[in-house]
Amino acid sequence: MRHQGSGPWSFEVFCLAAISCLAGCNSANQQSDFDLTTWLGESVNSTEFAQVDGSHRITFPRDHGPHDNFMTEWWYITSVLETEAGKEFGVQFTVFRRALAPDMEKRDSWSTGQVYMAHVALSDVSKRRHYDEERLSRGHEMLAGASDSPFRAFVENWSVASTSSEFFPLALQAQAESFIIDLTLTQTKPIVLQGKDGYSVKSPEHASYYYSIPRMATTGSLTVGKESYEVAGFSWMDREWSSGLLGRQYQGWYWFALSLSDGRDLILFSLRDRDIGDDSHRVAQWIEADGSTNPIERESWSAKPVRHWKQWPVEWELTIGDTLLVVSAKFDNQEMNTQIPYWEGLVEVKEGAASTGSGYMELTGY
Amino acid sequence: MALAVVAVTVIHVLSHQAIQNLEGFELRTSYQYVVPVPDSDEQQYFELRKLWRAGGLPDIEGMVPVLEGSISANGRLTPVFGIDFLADLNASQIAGPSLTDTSLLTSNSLIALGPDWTVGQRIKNATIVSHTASQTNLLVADLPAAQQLLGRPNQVDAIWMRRASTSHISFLEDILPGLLTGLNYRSPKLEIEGFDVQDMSNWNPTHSFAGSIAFNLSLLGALAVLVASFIAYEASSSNVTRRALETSRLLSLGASHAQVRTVFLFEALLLALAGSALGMMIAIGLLHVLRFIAVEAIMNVFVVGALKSTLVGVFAFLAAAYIASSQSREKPRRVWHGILIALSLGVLVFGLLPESGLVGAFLVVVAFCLIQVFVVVPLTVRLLRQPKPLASLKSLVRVLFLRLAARQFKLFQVPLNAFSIAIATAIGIGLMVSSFRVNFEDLLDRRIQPGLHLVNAAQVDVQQIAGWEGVMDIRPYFRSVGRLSDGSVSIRAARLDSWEASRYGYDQPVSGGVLVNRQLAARHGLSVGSDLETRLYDGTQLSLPVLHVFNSYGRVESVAIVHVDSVDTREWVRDRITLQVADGYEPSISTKLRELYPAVEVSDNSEIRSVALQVFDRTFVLTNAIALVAVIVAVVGLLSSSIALHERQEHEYRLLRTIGLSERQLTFSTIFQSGVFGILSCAISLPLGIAIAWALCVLVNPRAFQWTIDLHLHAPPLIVPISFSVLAAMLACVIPQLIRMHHRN
Repeated sequence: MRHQGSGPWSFEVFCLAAISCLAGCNSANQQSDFDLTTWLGESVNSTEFAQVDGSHRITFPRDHGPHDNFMTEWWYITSVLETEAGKEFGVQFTVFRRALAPDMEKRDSWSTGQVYMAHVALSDVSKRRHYDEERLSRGHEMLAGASDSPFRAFVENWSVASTSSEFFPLALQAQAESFIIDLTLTQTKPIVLQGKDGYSVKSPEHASYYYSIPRMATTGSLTVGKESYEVAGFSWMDREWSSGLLGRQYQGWYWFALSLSDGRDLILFSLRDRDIGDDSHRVAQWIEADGSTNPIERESWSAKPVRHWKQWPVEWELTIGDTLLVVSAKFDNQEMNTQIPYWEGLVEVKEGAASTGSGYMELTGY
Repeated sequence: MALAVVAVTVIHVLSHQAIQNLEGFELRTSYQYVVPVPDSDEQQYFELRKLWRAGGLPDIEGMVPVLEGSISANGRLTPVFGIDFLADLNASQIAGPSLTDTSLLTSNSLIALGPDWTVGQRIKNATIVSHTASQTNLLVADLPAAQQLLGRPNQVDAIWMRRASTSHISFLEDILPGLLTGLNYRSPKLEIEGFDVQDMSNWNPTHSFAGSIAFNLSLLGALAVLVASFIAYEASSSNVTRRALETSRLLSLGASHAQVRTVFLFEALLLALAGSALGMMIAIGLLHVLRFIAVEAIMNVFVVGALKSTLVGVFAFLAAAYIASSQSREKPRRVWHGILIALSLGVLVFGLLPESGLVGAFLVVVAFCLIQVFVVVPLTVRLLRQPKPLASLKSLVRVLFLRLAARQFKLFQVPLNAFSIAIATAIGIGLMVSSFRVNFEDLLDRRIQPGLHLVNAAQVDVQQIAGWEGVMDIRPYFRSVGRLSDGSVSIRAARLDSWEASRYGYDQPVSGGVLVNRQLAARHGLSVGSDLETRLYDGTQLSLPVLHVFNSYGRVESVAIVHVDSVDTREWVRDRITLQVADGYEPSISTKLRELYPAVEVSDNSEIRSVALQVFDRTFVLTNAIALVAVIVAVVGLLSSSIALHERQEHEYRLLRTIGLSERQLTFSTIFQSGVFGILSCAISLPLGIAIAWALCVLVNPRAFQWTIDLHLHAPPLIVPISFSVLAAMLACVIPQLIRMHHRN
């Protein structure tokens, strides 16, 4: 589930990242107390945007595209990849959209009232190297934007887009300074509408529209420095949009999207409340091999960090019913060196001594 | 040492402050390249950005599209910059500290720099949402807001590009403000097929202007260090000589020369650190008085300045001690003397080359000083020691006295070098400032004719005023901004009859040509006869021959003046007016204008002249203060050396008494020596001072600020330093005598 505050990126994180990017550069060049938090975040009254009230029925291809009347949304993809020789890679690609004002008319191509931000990361497991970059741009047909038919979400030459009139296959392309990603993603399981038909309630005050596309077959190439690799594997995509703000009581969250070797996928996450810890809001769900979903009762599972790297809990014990899964980072240093640091990386799943799957883990606010 | 640390630290802080004050629009300084966009076609920007994102510009770290223009606001022409704030994260810094909402990106909002604005003020269809203090007026907006304000949708005038890895450049600038300007540093040439990539310097002349001021100040601060180094050398040398016996004992006990030298170096280090600590305390006090130290940002700058001055001071002291302790064993070789003279001449020739820039101009000054040290002073000593024909006992005594004076001169050679350089610098700066003032007054006399001057006068009805009693002539001035192929130019249109043209030093009416200031001519390679080709922001192309190049002191911007009939001024701003009024009518017309147009600034031209001269005098207070610090350092050194040497003189006087000289003759000898010493000190300082003044007027000013100064040899700037020189030099001779007399009593 990629929801308001529980997913890899929430509205606040987007705002804070943008804020921090700008303010960080600011301080590097000129000491200023310019507070971009207020510029991009709190100064806007989120209730003036379209609200998530459950009345919206998610339909495609329309909802693959942007929802400019909502304050924020994102297109989030993680990929677990391997070369034929067994060299492992992980890829993270995210495009965020943020509306600057609820009622701003699109005056011309430059003043669309939309800001886009993107993060791209690549994990090279054998070299234990993690590369990441970020970008910010105004919405402009030549710079950044999103559309539904044909589908495309892009920030300059970082994009995920349909390669035909159909949504699938998707082409994920990003040329960063130190690496190039060129992948094709094909659907293998149906789209999963999170919550109640995509209406995902986070707390009494907050909700979002949210769907996921698990285990997309993925092929393509990765270039790191001067070396190129043909890779194959699977990807996970999350889509979420809303207009609410995450409450101040939440410190951060952990989030897992795991693909097991028996064909099942597992998503689980938990918000961390400042007062009551990880139990404030947590969700887990199996996506069976045939695509059917099977929510896990809140009381039936637990997650316990067992090893830390820096402040990040990079190894966890997940207890789901009678099953104990150990989820550990493929390598520890998969920290995102973005303006607001967070941990997002490739993990391995073990049941006992046996490796039973892999996936992605996100840790924020630690 | 303490005074040198004070000078360097305070100058460092003031230089940073000066740069910050001058550069209100700092964002531009983060970018090193400008790519002008032909026909303002925004597709050029997208193409270049695409090329960059595809890895085609590996040296570039950021780029922003820029729209430039000007509007009439508050009755005056105001430049407008439109920048895509989201194109480069670095661009956001311009947003300033007071922005509290997203309106900068969502509505027609402006950030105003300069003295004329208030938050909430409406300008055409835009609103000022943030205000930043600055000396010059400027409106900055997000690109689409600027496009709307200037009525130029989907247009981009230029692309600014930022280089990767410029931190070492910034570091150098932090350490020595203005260094890059002094070195005439340009970013590495960047070739991009299909794009005209230019260095930012021509587009940001304020940066060079501020850098030049900072560089000049920094070098003046270095003068204090140089003089302190001479004194340190002299002190170390005396120390080594005085402790020769101790040294020989240490050597005979098995200590190596290196160990002995280490002792001297350690002592020098302690002295330097003590001097630095004292200097820093004085600097803190001084800055506190100047109200800088309370600001956190300035505090950081202060720490850098204090560390810099301490390091330089300690290094100078250690170097002086090292040389002094080495010379105790080895006589300096003639060959080194020759090499240093050759080096000085080489530096002189290099500095005279225009390509050597501002650094070269200052190297000429350094070369003059080196020639003084290695040629003039040793030659003077040698001349004084030449044997003279002995006609009588009286003449023998005179020769003896003369040779004693020569000996005095030689003994004081090192502190005298420092002293003469300091005095010469004071003379040089004094002459330059007085010459500059004469030039400036001449310019004011020509430029400011009797009458009234109206600023922010866009709404003034010229026809109405023309009918007022006492108004003899009205001259409106129109302004616009033009773009050259490699920079921008402020263009004024006026009725350029012979009266108006003479204000700029051109003695005939102008019709089909243009008068340009030296800044414009120097930056863009224009001279009389060449054509000024520019495109105004309203799209008008202008091509006119340059008829005359005039000085405009204190200005940063490039200025061109055309006849009002040679351009279409309908889109220009007519924001200044000069009125010539009949005698006695100024007060009544001023009052009437102020009542009718409260927003218009009405000044009597004679007041403007007076204020301009006051500003001029204030500007050079700091320069004179720095020179004074150097002189004080030198005098202190000279006197301390003099006191240290009095024992040696006592031996000489005993010898003279033995050969029959009376006490009266010896007193006369002291006065004679003092006189000769004073006159010689003055004589060697004066030519060097004039040479320094020449270099400052002819080399430093044109290279730093593009304007020229005619050197005038006035007496007042000479009298004070020369009097000081003679007095200090005489005191240096008399004090040992007084001490001797005191001891005898």
